[in-house]
Amino acid sequence: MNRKVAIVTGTNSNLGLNIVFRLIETEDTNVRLTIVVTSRTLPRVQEVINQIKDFYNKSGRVEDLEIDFDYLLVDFTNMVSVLNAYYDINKKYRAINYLFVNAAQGIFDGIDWIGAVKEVFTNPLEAVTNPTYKIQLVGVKSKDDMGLIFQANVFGPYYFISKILPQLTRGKAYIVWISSIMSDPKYLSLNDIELLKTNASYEGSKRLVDLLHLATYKDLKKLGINQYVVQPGIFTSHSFSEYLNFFTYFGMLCLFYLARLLGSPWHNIDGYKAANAPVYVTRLANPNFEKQDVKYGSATSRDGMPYIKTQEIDPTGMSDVFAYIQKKKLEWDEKLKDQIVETRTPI
Amino acid sequence: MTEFYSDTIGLPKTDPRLWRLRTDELGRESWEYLTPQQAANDPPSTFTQWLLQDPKFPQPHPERNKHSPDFSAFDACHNGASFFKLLQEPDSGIFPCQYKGPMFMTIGYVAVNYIAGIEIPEHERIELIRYIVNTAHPVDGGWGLHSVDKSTVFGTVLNYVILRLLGLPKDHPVCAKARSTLLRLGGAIGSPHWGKIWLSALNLYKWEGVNPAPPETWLLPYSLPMHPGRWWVHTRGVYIPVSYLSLVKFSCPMTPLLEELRNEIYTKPFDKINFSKNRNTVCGVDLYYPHSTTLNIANSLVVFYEKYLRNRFIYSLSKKKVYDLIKTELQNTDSLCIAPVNQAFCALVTLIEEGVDSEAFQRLQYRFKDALFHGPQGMTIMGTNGVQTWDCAFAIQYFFVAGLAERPEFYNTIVSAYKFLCHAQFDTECVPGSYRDKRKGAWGFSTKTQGYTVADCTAEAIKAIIMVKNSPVFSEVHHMISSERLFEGIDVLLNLQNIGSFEYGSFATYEKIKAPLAMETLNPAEVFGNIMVEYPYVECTDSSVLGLTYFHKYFDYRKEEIRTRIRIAIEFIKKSQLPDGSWYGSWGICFTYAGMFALEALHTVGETYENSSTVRKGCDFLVSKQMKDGGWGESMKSSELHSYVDSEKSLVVQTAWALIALLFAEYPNKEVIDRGIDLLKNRQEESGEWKFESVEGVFNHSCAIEYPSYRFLFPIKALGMYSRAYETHTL
Repeated sequence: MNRKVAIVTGTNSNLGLNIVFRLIETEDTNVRLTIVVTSRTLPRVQEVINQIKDFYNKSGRVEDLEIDFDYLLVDFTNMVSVLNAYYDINKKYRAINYLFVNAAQGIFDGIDWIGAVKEVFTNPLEAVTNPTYKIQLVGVKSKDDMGLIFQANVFGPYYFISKILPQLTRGKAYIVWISSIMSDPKYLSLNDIELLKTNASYEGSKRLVDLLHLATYKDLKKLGINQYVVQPGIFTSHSFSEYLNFFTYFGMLCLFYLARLLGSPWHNIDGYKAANAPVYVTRLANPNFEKQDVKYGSATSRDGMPYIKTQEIDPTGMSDVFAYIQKKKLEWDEKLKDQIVETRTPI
Repeated sequence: MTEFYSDTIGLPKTDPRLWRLRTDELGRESWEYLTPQQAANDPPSTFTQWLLQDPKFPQPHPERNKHSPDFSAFDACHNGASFFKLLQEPDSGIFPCQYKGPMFMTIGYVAVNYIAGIEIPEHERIELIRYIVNTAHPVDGGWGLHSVDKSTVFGTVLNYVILRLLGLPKDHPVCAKARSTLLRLGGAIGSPHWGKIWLSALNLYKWEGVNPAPPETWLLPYSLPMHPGRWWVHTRGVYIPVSYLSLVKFSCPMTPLLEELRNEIYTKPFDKINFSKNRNTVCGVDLYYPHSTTLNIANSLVVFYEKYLRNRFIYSLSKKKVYDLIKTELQNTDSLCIAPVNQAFCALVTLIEEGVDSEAFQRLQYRFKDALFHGPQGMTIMGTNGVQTWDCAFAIQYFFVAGLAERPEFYNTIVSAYKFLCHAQFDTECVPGSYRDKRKGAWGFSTKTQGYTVADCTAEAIKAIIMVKNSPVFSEVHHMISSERLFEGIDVLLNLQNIGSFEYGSFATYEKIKAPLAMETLNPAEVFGNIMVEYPYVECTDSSVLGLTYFHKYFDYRKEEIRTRIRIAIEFIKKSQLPDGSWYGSWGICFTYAGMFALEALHTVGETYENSSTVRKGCDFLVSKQMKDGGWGESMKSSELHSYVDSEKSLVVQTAWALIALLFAEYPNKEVIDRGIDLLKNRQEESGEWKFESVEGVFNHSCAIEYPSYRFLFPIKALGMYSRAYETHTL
């Protein structure tokens, strides 16, 4: 039986959970798949595992695929926590086969209702495809004195990848960065890579993810690691529904279906369809032929059929971004170099 | 000698050659630190020499070891037993061990002494510091619920406070690193309930921020289903003194050190914290079992009651009732209480009520030492006052099962352990009015003194004693316990079986269930699950079956009834099997532990791989978890997640558990078993020892605890069983 290990960050999100579901459906036979669930808190880990078990037991894979679990408690806005996660992985796993970087943190402060209503009436398709009426706070730093969203969605995961590179190499891993449909160049200024001056830090972080992918996938390929960047389209997620009541949630849902009817390919709406591209690139794409410099998107046709649609990524600023991040990585390597000590001697 | 982290950073340590373990015939364990002159005339036991890595330890050099050609399973078994024999204290018959793991026990000892103004002896202070430093997290420097846990607020704040109370300065690298982690986790405000209680008692938190534990509940009629006397023994054991402290809202006087600590453990100034708004604030990393809405509402109602409705008369009545209950707990256990957690709370209440010089408080001070155990990493308060009865019962049984017990070289080992077990049987009842069941005739987990009946310990002790009494080799000691005393034990054991509507046929650990399962919605602990009522456990039911079937085989006492009880217990065990063929273990890590006990119990009623689908599923599950090197290993994350999680590498103890299960089941594929046996042989040192590898035990799903004797006992049993099944040799 072949052992495989999949790390899915943000497993407790709708998308993270559905990535695991699709992985279970598409994984090879005669495999024992260890799913490393991540969260910041333990109760969510247990909930997620129960949901995955329920799915697995109904999936028809019980006979030919074995699954088991592990967890990491990690907070990507804290570098010691990231180092903790590396320490745990390094101690336990020789090889990692899948890493889904599903970091989607934003610092939202409610909804600009006036702006939302105005946009819905003047440009309904845009309103539900590229919504700009979520209010985001500006200038929030982490305790590590870094742009919080930059650290949570880009630098923290990147640092983690750099630390577990030996495991990823041995596993000939697939790394999948979850980006977004909202990652246009306009959201990122090269003078503000840490996203401290923008009110669109979430979108800016996804732009950074795109550029970081373009800057690194070739070198990873040389190590036998296949990295992709994907986007899940528009789907229901917890971060948004927090601000909606029953009526506004239902209204949003109606608008989503209307958008699809009007021809938008990106309105997947449910998490399972949204998870199509992330798993496609690991289980169905052929790394010898499929391009890696494009973004794979989960799309749904007007009549509800899921498919994969790719988008070009504008590489402008890629080198500057990568240089900045590499410099910061070296800074943190230096800061953390004495952090790990051998305290727990077994006896 | 092993170098520890405390050595690398230059922390002082005591001289390991000057420590002596004192034990008595009732199994009490306490450590004494001698002067060099005293030590010269008082040689240490072989156990102490081994534990503290004394070069004078008489290391065995058996003729055959893993490097010998044709090194047999029996050779390995015999070598292991010969080594383990050296770890027995011959005068008391017990196999002492540092039963460590929980990181929230020592706070009680340190806090009570601090509050009482008692200075902890220097040799203890040094070693208490060392233990905590040597269990800090290697990356972030904090502590968790147990010694190999991730860092939590609960573990980190309590151990940080201990280090500071014991004199480590705040800018010491260990303190600085831990404080950084504590603040990263949100500071002490996110501590679970028990942590907030200790912090409040130490005047480092405010009682208005602690969820209430109303003592008035003890005034309710016992017939009410929610009466706290019906709760799980450990929970009500803690609730008694905690409800007193919650009533009087005790905080010790402020000192300059405590003032400093207030500034260190919070993310904002102490005076600016609204404690009452943080009753339910628990760090997400600590929060294993979130409160139910019911409990949150109940707590709010009680807070309102406390503030506006409680009257003087009820206050006094409740206070007296609770203190009387504390006194009965102290009487029933000679001041040991059920565990160090509630012992420390009881000591604090006794200090408040009677004063530092009172006889009652002095007795508690004496008994604190029973659980204060020294080891190479330092000193710590154990999970209980020891594992004496449990380990002795297993040692006797497994030496018999392995075919070793009747060999002359092990005669004294068996006799000493047997004598201890005979002394350990409870011979008195509890004080009336203490909400305790009949206990005369039963055995506890540790000592007679501690006085709490444990179902599986009673069953395993009975089985061990019958083995000795059935052997003519030991005829000289058969008289030490009569059949009538065994019958009394059986009476208590049968009383512990659930034969009502709840989990019919099952055995819990301490008592039958007395409160409805709905009580679990009022669980305040946040870090422990299934603690409000007495839950049944597969392993306790299995062990009880083992004891009952063995007794049933040799005695006619209550014979028909016992047969019925065995049958319904077996049905419970079968029903408890999970769809994948596993059994979840509650006291050991985890599925391998419960699987072993279940398959052994099924074996005693004739079920094997060949004739039982239950056994086939159980074996197939275990075999599916065998690792490449032939062994098995489980992480304690299995217990947390209720799902099998491999450890980093295979482990001797879990390998032995799996092998015992497969051997009892008569698993047909010998190659699977051979690979496991080879691992046990290869992991054994030339001396016969198996080194510590990983934590073996667990309680309440989330807290790991070590059972040092397991790495000898279970391999001995597995190798002995294998040898008898597959090897031909002359006895």
